[in-house]
Formats: sequence, structure tokens, C-alpha cells
Amino acid sequence: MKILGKSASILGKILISALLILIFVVPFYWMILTAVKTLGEVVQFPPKFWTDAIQWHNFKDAFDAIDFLHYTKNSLVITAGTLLGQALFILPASYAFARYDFKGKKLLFSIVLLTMMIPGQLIFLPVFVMYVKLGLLNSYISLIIPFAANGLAIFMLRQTFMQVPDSILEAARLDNAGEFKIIYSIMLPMAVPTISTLALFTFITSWNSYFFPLAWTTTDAVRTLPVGIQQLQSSLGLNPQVVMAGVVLMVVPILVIFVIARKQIIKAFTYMGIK
Amino acid sequence: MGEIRLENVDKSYGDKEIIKSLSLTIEDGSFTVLVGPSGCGKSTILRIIAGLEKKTGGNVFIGNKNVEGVEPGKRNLAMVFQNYALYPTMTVRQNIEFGLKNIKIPKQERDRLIDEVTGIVGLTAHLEKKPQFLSGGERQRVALARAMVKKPAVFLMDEPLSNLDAKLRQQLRLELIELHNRLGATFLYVTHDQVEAMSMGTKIVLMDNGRIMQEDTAHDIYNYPKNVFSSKFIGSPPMNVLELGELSEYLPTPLPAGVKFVGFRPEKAKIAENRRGSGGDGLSLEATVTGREMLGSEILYSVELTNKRKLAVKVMDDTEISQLEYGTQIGLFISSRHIIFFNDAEERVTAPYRAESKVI
Repeated sequence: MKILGKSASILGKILISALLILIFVVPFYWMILTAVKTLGEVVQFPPKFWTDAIQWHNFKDAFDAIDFLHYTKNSLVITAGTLLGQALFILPASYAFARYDFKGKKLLFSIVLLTMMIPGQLIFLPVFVMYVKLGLLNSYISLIIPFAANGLAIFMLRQTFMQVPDSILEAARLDNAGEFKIIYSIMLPMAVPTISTLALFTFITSWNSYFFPLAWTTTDAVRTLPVGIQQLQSSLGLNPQVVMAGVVLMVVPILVIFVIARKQIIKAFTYMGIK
Repeated sequence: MGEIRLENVDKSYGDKEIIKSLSLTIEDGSFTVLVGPSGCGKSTILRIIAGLEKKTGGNVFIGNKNVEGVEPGKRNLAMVFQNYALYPTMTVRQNIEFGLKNIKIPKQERDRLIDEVTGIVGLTAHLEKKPQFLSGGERQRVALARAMVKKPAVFLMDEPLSNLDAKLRQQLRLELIELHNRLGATFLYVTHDQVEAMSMGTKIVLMDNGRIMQEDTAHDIYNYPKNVFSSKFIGSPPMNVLELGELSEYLPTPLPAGVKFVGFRPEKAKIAENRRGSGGDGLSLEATVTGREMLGSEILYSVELTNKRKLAVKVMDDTEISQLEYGTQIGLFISSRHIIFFNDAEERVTAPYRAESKVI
């Protein structure tokens, strides 16, 4: 009976793993596969799950069809700017909400939480009008500022800072550490898992951002890579394999980060609080 | 250097008074233990001395210097916390080094000091590990080393052993006593465990409800409790305290004036099986055995008097004498020099005939 139960549980694990592979790996495989097929293979029915000859030139076609470097640069600037802005705004804000008492703290924090409940798509038009009036249209700053603070991130980091036992801070004060020293050498290192998780989320969201860079711009000046890749469709007519090649190129940086920082990311995502 | 003096210290949170005009002198070089039930204000006192908590009134002097407004780090003291409060992202070495770095001690000197203290507490092999890879006992040693390395005049310890298992606690108790002898600094130790207090303190300060109930050596606080609270808090099981009432006729006269309660330690009662205890100068009682706990070297009986009052009686286990069964009728005899009297304010009154007793 026991052995039977054990093998049943192994079977269950296999089934679940297979399902997960189906959900996560197959679409990814399909993306890469499409990127190296010929147009004929792409539209072939029934679809082929392999290709006979890898069409490397799809990547070159994608690269040549749009100003790939320009869009990549824009994506990089906007992603880096957003990360920097978040470090400047979210870290101090969440620390203050977690550790200091000041007038209006509750009200301010409620406002921060409220921002999470307003969908961006709802306010993109007024923001657009505002950018027009401020002359910020088609500027990097217009695509960074709205994302340089984030209610959810402030909330999560505040929770992390609040979890640090008071006695650790008291021990540091007895060790002659000033406020800045405490934040820099004790609090921030303890929050590294949360900070890296949040940074990773920001990176992915910002890198893949499509709607806002399209909606808040009128020229290609600051448009990002996803918007550029969208234009592959219109500039090349029906060429899904080239579009997919562009998508693969766009995903490469994220893949590289995953490979390099795999351990750190898994740790961050499975982190269960400070012990 | 390490004398601590509290003068009329008050502390309240809103309407709630935690400490009520408390005055206390902790002698330089003593191992003073603040003991009391939870919520009695003992930890608050410690934190006020450390500067981690603001007092509402009164003065605190450390080494004859009023520390009003002095930063915790500048008070020449170190603290060991119940949960160790180690910096989790730093190695053992970095934990110990942190305080030294902050006061800009040069690297060479830091390394020398770290070697010295880690040698004393036996952590040399663990210097490069992070706290999460250490056992509870090792973590507490890191906390001790971190405190010691600053060579403070005063060590404050807030229940440092209560997260450890019984065996380790006993071992560290001995180590702390040795450490105190070796360093010669003032140790102020907070605990709710009276055994810890008795075994370590050169002086015990017993607190209840924000007030000092008794301040004495372990020997005197056990043998000469100043009040009913003290007699019941110190000692396990606590002192048997009975209302005088009907007992008065069994007690040798004359009684001190104003007696309301009569107390004696469980081990001072002599058991005489199946008969009333031999007369003589003392208190004789009749009782029935209702419970028995074997503690190893001793047996703890719980007995019931004819008026249903429960008492604890502790006797040395002796294979010559069989253990008493439940329901056995016994006589108890307590010699008058082991009887302690309290008045209706629950304070101790001294019997006039006890010439040998210590007058408090």
C-alpha cells in the first residue's frame, strides 16, 4: 500500500511537472522555433514542431527593418532611469513609513496605497494632455516619472523594514552607529532579497513596456523596443518569423539576467522573511 | 567606574505607571540580578539605564555621571539581548567588529581585540560564519563577545539565556559567573527565573509592579524574605504561607506583635508518619498526602491540612525510607527557628524570641 501511495505521488509530480512544462516551456520554444523558420514553415498546416534549416537571417532582417539600436537605447535609458528613480523614491519612503513617526503618516500612507488601485490605462489621457501642456511630450522623463514610485513596492519594502526586530537597531545604537550607518550597514543589507525582487519586477515591466511608450509619444524619438518590434509587422507585411526573431532579441537581456542571477532570484522569490 | 545609581526614576506609558519613584544603587563590580514576574518593570529599568527608553522622571547616574541626554553608545555600557540581536547579514567577525569600527579603532587593534574575546568565549572557529549557521548557544556567545570587545564598565543583560535549552542554560550560567569574575565589570542581569537569579547574583533585586520588594544576597533573600511576595517568588516550590487564625494555638508563644501570616519553607517541614509531630519548640500540623513528585535527589509532596489548605513539603530522597503513598496521614513539624511571620501588610515581623535571626 505504502509503495503504491509513493508511486502515485511520484506520478502526480510528473503530471504536474508536465503541465508546467506545457504552460511555460512550449510557448517559449514556439517563439524561438518560429524565429528560425521560413515563412512557408510558419504558415504550414499541420504545424511543424522542428525546422529543417535554421534561418539565421531572420534576426538580421529584423535588425535591419527597424532602427533596432535606437529602440534598444531608449529601452535601456528608460529602464535604468526607472530603476534609479525607484531607488531614490521608494527606499526612503518605505523606510520612513516603517520606522519614523511623523504628522500625517497614516494619511500619506493611505494615499500611497490608493495609487495601487487606479489603473494606468484610466489616466493615460489626462497625463498625455498634461505632458503636451508641459512640453514633455517625446521626452525620456515623461516615460520615467510615472513609474519612479510605486505603491506596491513602497508597501512591500515597508513590511520588510518593519520586520527587522527593534533589538537589532538598539544593538546598533549601543554600538555607536548613527542613523545613516544603521540604514546603510544593517537595514539595507537585510532588505536585499526584497529589493532585488522589486528591481527584477521593475526591470521586466519596464523593458517589456509597450502601452505607455506608445500612448504617450507621437514620434519614434523615445519609443521603446516593444513598440519598435510592433512596427516590424507593419513595415514587413506578413512576416511572423521576422517579428518573432525581434521578440527573441528583445528577450535576450532578460534571459541573460536570469542565467547570471538565477540563485539570487530564486532566493528572493522564495524568501520568507528575516530570521 | 561601573556604579549605577537610580534616583526616584519614574516611567509611565500614558496613564499606566510602570516604574514608581524607584531608587537603586548597583555597586561597581557587582553581579546584580533584577528579578520579578513579567511586567514588573525590570526590563524597562535596564532599557532606561541603556538609554533605549526615556524615563518620565528622576535621574540615572553611571559611574557618578548623570547620563541625562547621553546617547546609548556613549554610556560606557554594552547590552546582551534575549534574542541575541545579531546583525544577520554580517559574519561573526563583522558583528563583533561593528562597534569598534564605529568608534574608529584601527584595524590592527580591532583584530587583536577580536582574537582576544573570541578566544575567551570559544568562537575562534566560527569567525567567518553568519549567525544563521550557528546554534543558539553559539549565537549568545557572539552577543557576549560583541559586548565584551568594547570593554565597557557595565554589562546589561536582558534575559540572555531564556531562549536556550535547560542544559545549555546551566552551562552558560557558570560561564557568565566566571566571566564576571574575570572581567570585574558591573553586570546587571534581568530575568524572571528565580533559579537563575539565585545562582548568579551577588546581589538580587526583587521587583513587583514597578517597585523594589527586596534587595539582598541570594542567601538572605531566601532565608529572610522581607515580605510575603518575596517569600513566594523566591524558592521552588514557594514558601508555604498560612493565615495565623486557628494555627495560633499550635505555635509557641510569645508571637511577635501584629502577626497575620505564618510561613515556612517546604524543606523545613519534618515528616513524622502516622502521628502528630513531636512537640517541642515549633509548629505541629496534621496532614494527608495528596501528591508526590520525584525530583531525583528530593521528593516533593503536596499535602492537605485538615482545613483543606494545601502545602508543599520537600524531603531528601532516602532509599532507607519508603515513599509515602497517597492518602497517608502524617504529622508535620516545623522548628520555630524556621517559622517566619508576616503582618497584615504582608511584611515580615521578627519573633521576639529569635535572638539569632537577622534583623532587617
